[in-house]
Amino acid sequence: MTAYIGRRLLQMIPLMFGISLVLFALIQAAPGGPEGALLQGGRMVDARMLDAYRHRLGVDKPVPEQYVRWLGAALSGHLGVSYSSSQPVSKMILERLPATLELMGVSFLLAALAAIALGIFSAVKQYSAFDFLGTGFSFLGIAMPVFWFALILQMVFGVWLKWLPISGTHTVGATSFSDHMEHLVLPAAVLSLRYIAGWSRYLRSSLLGVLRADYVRTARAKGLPERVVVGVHAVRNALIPVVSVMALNLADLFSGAVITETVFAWPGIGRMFVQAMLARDYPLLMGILLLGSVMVLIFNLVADVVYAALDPRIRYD
Amino acid sequence: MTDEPRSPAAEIWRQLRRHKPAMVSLVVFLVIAAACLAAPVIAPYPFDAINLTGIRQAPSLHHLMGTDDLGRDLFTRVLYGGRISILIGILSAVLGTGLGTLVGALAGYYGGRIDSLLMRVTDVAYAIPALPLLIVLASYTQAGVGSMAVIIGLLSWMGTARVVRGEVLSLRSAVFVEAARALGASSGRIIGRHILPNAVGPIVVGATLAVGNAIIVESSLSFLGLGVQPPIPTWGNLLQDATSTMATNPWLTIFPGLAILVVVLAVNFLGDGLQDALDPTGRST
Amino acid sequence: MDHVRRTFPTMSALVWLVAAAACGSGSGDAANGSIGGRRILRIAYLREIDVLNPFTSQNLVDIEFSMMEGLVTTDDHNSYVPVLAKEIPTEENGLVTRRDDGTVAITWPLHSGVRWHDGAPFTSADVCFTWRFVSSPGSQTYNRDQYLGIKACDTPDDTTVVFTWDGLYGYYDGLFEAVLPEHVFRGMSTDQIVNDEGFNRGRTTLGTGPFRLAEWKSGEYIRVVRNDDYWRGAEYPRIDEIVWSFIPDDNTRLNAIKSGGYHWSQIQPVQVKDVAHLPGYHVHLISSNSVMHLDLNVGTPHGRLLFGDPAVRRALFHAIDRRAIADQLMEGTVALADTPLNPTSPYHDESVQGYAFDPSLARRMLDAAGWWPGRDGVRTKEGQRFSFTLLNRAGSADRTAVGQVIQAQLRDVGIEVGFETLESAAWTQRWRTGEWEALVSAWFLSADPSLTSLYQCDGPNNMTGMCDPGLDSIMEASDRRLDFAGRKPLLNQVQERLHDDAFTLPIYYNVVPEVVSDAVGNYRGSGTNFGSFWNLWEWTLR
Repeated sequence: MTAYIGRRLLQMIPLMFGISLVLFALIQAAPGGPEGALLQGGRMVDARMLDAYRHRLGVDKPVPEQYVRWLGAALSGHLGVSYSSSQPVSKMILERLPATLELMGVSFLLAALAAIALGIFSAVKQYSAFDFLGTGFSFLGIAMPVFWFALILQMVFGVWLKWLPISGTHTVGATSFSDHMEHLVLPAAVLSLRYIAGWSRYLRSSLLGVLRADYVRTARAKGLPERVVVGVHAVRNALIPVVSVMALNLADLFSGAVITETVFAWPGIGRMFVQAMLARDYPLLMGILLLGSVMVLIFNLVADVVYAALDPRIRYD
Repeated sequence: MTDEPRSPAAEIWRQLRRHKPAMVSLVVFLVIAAACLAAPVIAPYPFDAINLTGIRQAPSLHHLMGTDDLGRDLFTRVLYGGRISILIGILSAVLGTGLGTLVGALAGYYGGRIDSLLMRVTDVAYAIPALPLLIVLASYTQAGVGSMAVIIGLLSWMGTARVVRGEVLSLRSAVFVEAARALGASSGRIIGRHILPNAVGPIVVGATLAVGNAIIVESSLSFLGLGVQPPIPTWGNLLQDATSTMATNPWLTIFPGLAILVVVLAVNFLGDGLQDALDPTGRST
Repeated sequence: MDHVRRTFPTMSALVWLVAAAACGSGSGDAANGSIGGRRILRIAYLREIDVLNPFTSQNLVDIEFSMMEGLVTTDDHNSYVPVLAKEIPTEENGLVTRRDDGTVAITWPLHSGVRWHDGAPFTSADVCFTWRFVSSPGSQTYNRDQYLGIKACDTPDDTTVVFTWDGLYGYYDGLFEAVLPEHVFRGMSTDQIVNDEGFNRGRTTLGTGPFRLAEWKSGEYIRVVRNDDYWRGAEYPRIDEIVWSFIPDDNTRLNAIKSGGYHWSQIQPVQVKDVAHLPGYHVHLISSNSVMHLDLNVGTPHGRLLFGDPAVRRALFHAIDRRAIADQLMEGTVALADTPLNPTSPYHDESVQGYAFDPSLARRMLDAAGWWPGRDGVRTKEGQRFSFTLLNRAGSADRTAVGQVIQAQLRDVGIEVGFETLESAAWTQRWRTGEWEALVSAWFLSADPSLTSLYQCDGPNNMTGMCDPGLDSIMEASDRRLDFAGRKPLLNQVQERLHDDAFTLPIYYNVVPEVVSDAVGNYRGSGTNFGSFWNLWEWTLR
């Protein structure tokens, strides 16, 4: 297994080169340039200065030359210097990454708990009213535009009920764990809801298959209580394929975080990406996109490893 | 299961008809899509009839869904917006699924170096986080209907490609494929006539869900200011443009929001029903 | 089975939202008021800033002015008021003197006893240092060229700065909105200062202002605390801390202030009626120096063909109902604009009356100019249809709305307007290259009334291709007058001539609605590009 993981990690290196090349070309070819940021807010800027600004950043050079320069910066570890803040990109990303990982992690757990509960019950009571209701509820998460749902929750829980804070990660000056958790509730709820449906549906159909399998029938025939049959034997086996899908979706959570962070002013890298794109901050964009790609690749690997670890029939070597 | 053998399509339809939510969803979807398609006929006003003396009016008999920030009839806007949103959904789903099917079928059928090359490309495309890449691509062009459909489609073929490749791999040495090959059928014919029809299940389910997904993605891009832009209405930009007054003029968000919600729900229930109809393990006992 | 039935529905349906309810212990208003007896002003701010150096920041700067002070700032009447300067030099008070060689000496007397946040004394040398930095080629200061008329900076003593200008320049009193500490940057090159992470991001940031930087959490907030050593006296400032939370989404920011957690926020004009009766708050409609306008471009062949004739441009402007846009579309939150200069500025010319909405007059003028309605209702002349494209910037709802109204109203007089919408950076590039026909846009002007760079032939910010040499000479003359009495009539002429030239149609002055808690005192909102935090030193908080 270790050798397998090692090989997969090695394979990522050429893949990352390919990805970086594609991304660099895509970003550079997008119309507009970093000088546009100077005009933010309608500020009057001597238009001739914009060219001087481009020259200072080096974005007036040929794209291949810029790529080589960026590659040098990337390989040396700091990923270049952000145009807008003059800081090393690696530092900016590391400052923001914990907030994103926390939001993703908590949302993942929340979604997994809800999806497993919903999936099991939908399978056990297939075609019951609850099955349909649960499915409908979880489908809401797929069918609601994320930003709309987020604003509705803000209005209900933040403005009307005043139960929960609306934005940020904590009340400045009154830091406590419970205060932080309160700030996390709405963004995590919004980000997690989208995944409940897919996972619970997947678990439902997986469990339905397992429940008809021979060993479950045997367990039932031995007179074991239904709770034990479902809870111990069936669910464990049904979860195997679901868990790998969940791990794959971890990467997708990163995409979802872009919108969620923007709406809830959550200081993660998703929101930073949106700002970087508007400002055409090429080094920062590259850094975030590459980080996202590494995360996708790693989560894919995790999915495969988890699958192998859970399913004794699969062995990688 | 005492019926005589039927064609796969008829069998799927028979299964699907028993799935009530899916059938209700299909009807709802078709009704909404038909209404949007018929917008020029049934809409009570021109879609760009501005009336500054009557902006943000509450729903009334004259304006069933009220009026928007330029005094235009929201019901009309929602109908026209639906044409665009559903069109983007269907176009991008067809494009994404078509591309994915093509890539997957070629990779699975030919195997070897073609397979590994195509799968590497798929890996690269899959590894770049989707929404950030969409944001980059959306800044390329004037945000129109066609470009939006193409961009969303281009980013949603990888899943289909992998699934189809798997199906084709498992089918290419099946007896009936070998038979067709022995009879001298061309590769294209074998893929098109013999292999793909047997892999149609997951393709159709994937395409169905992709329609809903594309509608949601367009609305997300609208939120970021990168979706299809006014004066062309879409459900996404109608919703986004109204959010700034959602507390004072709630109907302006509720109607386009509900339109998205209902159609995407319907599409997902339909996909769910198709899944059940196609998946032998999920069949009702 | 029973157990399963009881447990799972509860779990699955509620696990997700119960979390919300369980945590809900009414934190919403805990944010307000004081914590531990400290008076904390909480601001829901509309963007994250990039760097703290006000001369290299690419944003409109206002947070910085809580920490850093300049010779002058702008007040709520669009006028410059002294800060670190004891008074603003004028010819009347004898601090502006013409020398025989044509240069002008401008003497700034400074307050004594001012110290930087680290205790070092603030002196005239810091001012000269700031001038050297800003005017050096690599400073990337947005208005660097306005400093270039200064040829020398002398420091007769610690509290006197004398600038030698190469001539008379009307803007002289609007520069140096901040001063940089020389001792922090000693020995650094311009490039090193621009990229100095310590000053840019807060580790070594300091000023002479009423507040000191306490922390900057990336993406989240900036917190400043009271400067106990403030030069205006121990009683100032009257607030212990200020926190600017970065909340870029307009709706989230509105919800945040409605939830009661903040004392101050900016919202969108269309959201005003939502908070008009919010208990404990007042909405202030700050008319800003940002004027929403329609630009017609005569710099392209097609643009010249359509808009080359001034009568045609005027006809177009008569076809646009600006009052309806201001009063109905913007719901009366904004003031109609007849000239680029806001009426809050003493230089605003009241005699200029904008083009009255008169579609039938517009039609007659177009007829007279040879543009006759064609079969499809669109006017044509010599086989050319009167059809052009409005370049629209994605994501700016107000401009898009105004553009759609213009489109509809021009259609009524037989002119076809198409829309092309570009993402904002792409829009900027197109705007700069002049490859567009018309657009709705807004500048954020400083308190100084000079319009030269916007409308001069080949002016650095003139993208419409307009060129009126007569106008240029008046504008240049107005820039060389330092006295109000001399400058005012020239700028009146400029505004009248801009109106007659009709390349640009002022529509309304953007309004910045600011929601301010009743607990805040001495707030005097300002619509200049320096913003409303210009007098934070005297704000109070109950």
